[in-house]
Amino acid sequence: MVEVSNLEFSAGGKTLCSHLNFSLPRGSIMAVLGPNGRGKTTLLRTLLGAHRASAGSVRFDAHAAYVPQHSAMIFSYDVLTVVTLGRARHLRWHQSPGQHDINVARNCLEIFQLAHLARQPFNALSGGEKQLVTIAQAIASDSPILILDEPASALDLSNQNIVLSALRRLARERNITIIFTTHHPQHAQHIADYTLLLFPHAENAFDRTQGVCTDAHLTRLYGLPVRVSSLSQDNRRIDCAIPVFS
Amino acid sequence: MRMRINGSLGFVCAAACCVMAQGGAEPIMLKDMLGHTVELAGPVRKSVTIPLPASSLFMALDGGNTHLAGMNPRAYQHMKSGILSKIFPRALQTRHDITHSGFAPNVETLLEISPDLIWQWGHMGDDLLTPLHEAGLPVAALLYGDERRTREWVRLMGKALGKPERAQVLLDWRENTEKQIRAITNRLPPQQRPRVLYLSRYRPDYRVAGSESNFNFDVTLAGGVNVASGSRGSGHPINIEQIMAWNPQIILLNNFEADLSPAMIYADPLWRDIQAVQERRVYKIPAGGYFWDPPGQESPLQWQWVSMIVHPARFKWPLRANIAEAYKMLYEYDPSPQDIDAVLHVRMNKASKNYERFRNTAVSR
Amino acid sequence: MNVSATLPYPVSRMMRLRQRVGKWRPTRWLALGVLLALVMLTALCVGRYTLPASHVSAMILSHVMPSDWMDLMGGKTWTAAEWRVVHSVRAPRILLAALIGAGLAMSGAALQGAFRNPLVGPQILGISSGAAFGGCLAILMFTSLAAILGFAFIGGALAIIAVYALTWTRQRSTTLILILAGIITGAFFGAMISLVTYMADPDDTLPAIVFWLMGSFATASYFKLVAILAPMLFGMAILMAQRFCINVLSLGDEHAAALGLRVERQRWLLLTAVTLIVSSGVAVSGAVGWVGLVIPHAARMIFGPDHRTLLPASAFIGAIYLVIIDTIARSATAAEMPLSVITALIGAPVFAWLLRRAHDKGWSHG
Repeated sequence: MVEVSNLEFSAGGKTLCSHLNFSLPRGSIMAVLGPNGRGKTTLLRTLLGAHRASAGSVRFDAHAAYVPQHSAMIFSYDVLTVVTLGRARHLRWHQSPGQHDINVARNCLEIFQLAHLARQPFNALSGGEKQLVTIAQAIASDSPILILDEPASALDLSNQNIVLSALRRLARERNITIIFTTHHPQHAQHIADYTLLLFPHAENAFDRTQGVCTDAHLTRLYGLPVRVSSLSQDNRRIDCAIPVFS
Repeated sequence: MRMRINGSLGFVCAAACCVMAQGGAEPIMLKDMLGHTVELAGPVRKSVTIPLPASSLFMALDGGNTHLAGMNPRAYQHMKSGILSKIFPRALQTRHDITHSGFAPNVETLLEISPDLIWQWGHMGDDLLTPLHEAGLPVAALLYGDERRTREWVRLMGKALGKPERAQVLLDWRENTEKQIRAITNRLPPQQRPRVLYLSRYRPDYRVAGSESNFNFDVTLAGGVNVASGSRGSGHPINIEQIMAWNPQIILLNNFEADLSPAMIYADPLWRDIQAVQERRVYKIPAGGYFWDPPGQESPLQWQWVSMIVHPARFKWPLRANIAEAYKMLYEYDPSPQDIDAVLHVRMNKASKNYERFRNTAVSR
Repeated sequence: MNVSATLPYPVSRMMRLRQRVGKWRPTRWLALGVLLALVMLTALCVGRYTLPASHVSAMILSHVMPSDWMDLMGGKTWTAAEWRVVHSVRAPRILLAALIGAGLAMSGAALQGAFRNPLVGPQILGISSGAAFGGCLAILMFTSLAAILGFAFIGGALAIIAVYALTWTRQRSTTLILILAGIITGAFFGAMISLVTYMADPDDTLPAIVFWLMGSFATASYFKLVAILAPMLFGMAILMAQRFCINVLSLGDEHAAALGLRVERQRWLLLTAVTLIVSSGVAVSGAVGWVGLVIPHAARMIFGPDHRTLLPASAFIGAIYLVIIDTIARSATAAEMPLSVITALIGAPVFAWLLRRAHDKGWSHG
């Protein structure tokens, strides 16, 4: 469970967001939408406590795991090692991961069908694989809350699909609460139960995704006309937001 | 107060000298060891010595400190702890703030002294000479090295002081002593030449003098072999294993480490296996008007001493009498038996082989 | 910092090598240990003093074999002088070189990991300079080794406290600020060293300071070995305990913190351990450069970047490297060769090659 009340945060002397209130039940997914510089990453950092809020409070019912946007590593550890790093929370400073931790890490790789990559150097993986491994690392920490910074933005369409499906499965099957930022309204429409829009002038809108992702809201959000449309495919209704470029 | 009295005394002296100089002297053209010509209005009356051995040599040629206006602070410390300050008590008032560190001249102090000639090393790079040239100070460069070069120091300083005859006396003494020793040692086959080590430093690490050092000349002349002659230069760091491999029969200790004594070497467990230690042939080199390890005005006495150490049976110089005679000639000084004991480090060397022959026999009988 | 994005080694070749190494994983520590022992034994037989290897091996055997067995093998073949060369001259020196090589290389590996920068070495944070300044000051005032050791520690600790003070802002210290603070501290203590050399007596303390700053094992003794054994091993034990922490730290402060690591605390614990190691090294052998910078790279190329294996592997390779270097220094020529000169002669080209590679690959190739 995540509860944010009356949160205000700023960066570089500029208030990015104020009077932010939302609450997420366990196992729900929230997407954060907003153009560049509106404070998406700062919001995540504020939630994690890495950035100091100027007002308000954040309440998690458990610790949160974080998947940063850039997952390039200086040291190209093998994939299994990268995932075991997620166990750090459960280890004392002088401990190394034991058999149990390694089993947990292997299971996390299994979730994404990546077990065959366990001994590959991380930096030799494709972008999508890297993103999945980093998510697996976060899962390995056994955190009921997962916070991801643009998990699908650098990926091609098929890899976007893999990552988004993985997130949805984690929420459904493992009851993990997920917060992620994205540039694509369609990602929100596809998997998010709730969506937070970061408007200009430190304003925001939060609601169930269908209710908040409207033409008017998205047009205001991105500063250009956006039309929400839907189509039917395989008996599914698929919402999509189409920007009307001038 | 004292400074002022000194100053005025100096002024009186300088004035008197000027009168003398104007009275008799002609300009002196001095070609220094780098080939530069320095023109002096007359014999130097206010000179500064930056190289260490130069100050005592200058005093010896000058017969006192009257014309030495400044000296290297290290040389000053050495003088203070040795016999020279007893011979020339006034030398203790010589200015010794003329270098920054090492041999780098303190140009402002030198301008204040305004000497008529500065002696400086010529082999340590232009950095030591250029500031002096640029300040318009007259400089004569000396080169460190073999005996030939040391003799050139004597000749140059004698000439600059207007005392070439006195310099000649010193040069003849060197020449004669060298000849007398060579007459005996030249015929020695290699196997009769003992292996000798000069320990130019004991702490923090061991340093020895190689083939291009003054010590190499001294020991070869005296009929020994410098075990370190395989390397050049004069300050190589050496480990104990190498010294064990050389296994010197005689070890001579430097004076720059004042407290270094044969007893320390005898007590050091690492040195136990070396022949010189087992045979108790470790000696502290004497120190008179200046240390005897570097070249200087007393070098002939050092050669006599080394030859007696290296070949005790072949050389039987009356060294104590020779020292007394030499000090009379060099410094107009009659050394007491205690003075000579101090010069020869009789106490430090007493546990070493054959050193009793250097003791004062007149007293012991 | 983009400079430190990734390491320059080509993946494919490295992977092949690593897989090959991985096959003998269980025995690789044994192999490294045997290699180190062989290098040390060989070093024991090498030196300026001519000494047959058979005598050396007989001497070593005499420590482990009953004396009547020794008699069967021909009894004591060695002389007292040979015994002393091996036991009082070579053995302490080799042991000291191995210990310090291991400590410096492990420190370097730990620092490079924790600061996410493969160009960091023990020198960069000013610890060496601080310890060297403390040691110089001790030489100026005292003569005892204990004082030099103590002052080197204090100097190293002062340096790290200065770094800490410089980085103490409202926000948490970042890697870049930390490295800048280290450079400032190093430069300051460098100037203080110059001041001490300026004040030193040219006949007495100056040569001691100059010799000490150059770095040498020429004056090694069991006393020195024993004096630094405890702080050295303690520091190395802390680093070994942190080996997995360093993996987490290498993800960057924020990521590591999000994974539940107390970044600040772990980093300062690591720096304290490195200070202990570097100061003890500096206290008995002066500042030996390049080992902490280059050896971790070599170890990483063979054993991979995981600090759980990299730290002990660096220690082994560092020990082997410094024993070899010191054996060259003491036996190649009659005069002792300065240690830092040989480590630089080997280290600088190797490092230049690494940099060059990194540059060609744009620092981004995995």
